[in-house]
Amino acid sequence: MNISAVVFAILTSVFLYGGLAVCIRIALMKNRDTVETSE
Amino acid sequence: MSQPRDRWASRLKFILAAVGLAVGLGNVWRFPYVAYENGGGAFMIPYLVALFTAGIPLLMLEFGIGQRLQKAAPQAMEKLRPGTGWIGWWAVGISLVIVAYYAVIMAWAWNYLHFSLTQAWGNNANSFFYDQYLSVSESPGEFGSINLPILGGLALTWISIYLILRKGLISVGKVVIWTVPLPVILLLILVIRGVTLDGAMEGLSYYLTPDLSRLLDPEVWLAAYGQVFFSVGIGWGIMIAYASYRPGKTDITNNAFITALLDGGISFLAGFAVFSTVGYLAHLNQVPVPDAVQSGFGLAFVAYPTAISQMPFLPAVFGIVFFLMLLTLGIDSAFGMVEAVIAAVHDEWKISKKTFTLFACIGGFLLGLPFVFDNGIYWLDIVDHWACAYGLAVVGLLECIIAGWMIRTQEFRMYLNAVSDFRVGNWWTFCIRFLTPVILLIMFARTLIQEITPLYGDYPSWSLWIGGWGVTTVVVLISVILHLKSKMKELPPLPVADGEGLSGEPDRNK
Repeated sequence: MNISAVVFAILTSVFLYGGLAVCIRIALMKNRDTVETSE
Repeated sequence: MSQPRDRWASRLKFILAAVGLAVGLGNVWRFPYVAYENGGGAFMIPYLVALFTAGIPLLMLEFGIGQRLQKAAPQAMEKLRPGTGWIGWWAVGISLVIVAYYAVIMAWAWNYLHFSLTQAWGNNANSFFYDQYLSVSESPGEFGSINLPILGGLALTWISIYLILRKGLISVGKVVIWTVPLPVILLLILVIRGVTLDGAMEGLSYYLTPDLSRLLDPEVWLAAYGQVFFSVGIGWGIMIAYASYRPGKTDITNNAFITALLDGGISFLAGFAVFSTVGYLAHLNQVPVPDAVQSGFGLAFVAYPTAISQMPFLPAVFGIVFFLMLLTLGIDSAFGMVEAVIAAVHDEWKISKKTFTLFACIGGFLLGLPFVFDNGIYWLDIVDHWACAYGLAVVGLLECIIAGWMIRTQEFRMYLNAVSDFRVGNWWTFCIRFLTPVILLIMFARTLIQEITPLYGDYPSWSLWIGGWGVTTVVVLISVILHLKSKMKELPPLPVADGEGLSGEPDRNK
């Protein structure tokens, strides 16, 4: 596999999975509606 | 006296349900192929741009509509802008049409799960699938006979959907905890197996090697927007229904980001499983990778089974893993589509959800029967094409026009910002008002032009009139009739026009 393929795979992963990690972290920090019940 | 509205037990369950809905069969069998055909690694640039400028803004819009107005799609659209409830009914109708054939594809997966034990497809998976298993007739007009294994699989699918939905959000919440992470774990197993096969790297090169010159091709950008639009689950009315079960003052923007990024992340991961296996297949048969690669049914029921048969180690196990992954990917989308219908009917006529769930599942099963005959695959292809190209795209376009031009869009954005983990700027308004509708309009016009010459799929024109335009017209007509019927027992108008509707306290539990 050539180097450009690897670079694009890494960059895409950083955007998708890194972005996801940031969003989840924000959600956990704010964590303001985890207690909405009514099951 | 009105009952309090059902609620998700937690934010996590809502997100899992939304992700389960967005992530479906298309993530595995469509995204990798579209990426490969449109510039390989370079396709990720337009894909990410499309995700951030269309997928996420539209998800925020649908989450916002449902959560703010606390109603299913038809009632929420009507409250958002009086006179537009029929668009919500149209979205719900599309969901019903799609789930009718989607359940049939799941029936195939049930049957193939069984076939995996012995690799019943033998040395020629292509002939087995089309000639033996489906015994496809010569043309859409030749019904042939009913296919009993598919009928059994269809019944199994609808029984599963009924059991998941019968206790409403309580059972859905319990199911998504398992059915959303499980296919990701199964996918990871397939990725690990795939990349350790001979020829895998050759296959992955085709998936990931960037062809930057393709970025100048408008078709590539349209393909990226099309992939995002049809993948994140907008235009079906389900995201509105799901969000309506959230309290009005809870996050919207971050949930939309998480849902869309997970959808994209799983699609990207699926490419590794698919292309490593296709590379292995090409290596075994000494053919170039482009000759081995397929998408859609061809990938899931021909190429993958062929590769599974030739795996050196425990082929039956990997066959079961693959088809179990397809089933768990599909089931969340399938019951989500049924929930969109149930929520709309319940909100309109206050029919007991429990009773109507049984009715809806029996109705969905009956709607799927035309696809169980020998000519079913033709009709499935035609109805799928029309439902997506003219149904989902037009509903999305109309939603953008209403939200961007017929209500106070900035107030809607202020509502999103007031309740969410983080704020969105004017870019959101720009995307909803200009960018997304223009791209959807171009996509719609292009498909329409392609439709005329030559005819879609070389099917006889009468079959396109029945399965394509016919089904679309019936869905639109029923939507308008339902809308007019609901207008008769009208509801005082919501003060959207004078600006109070989108900035005040959320009217939860109405």
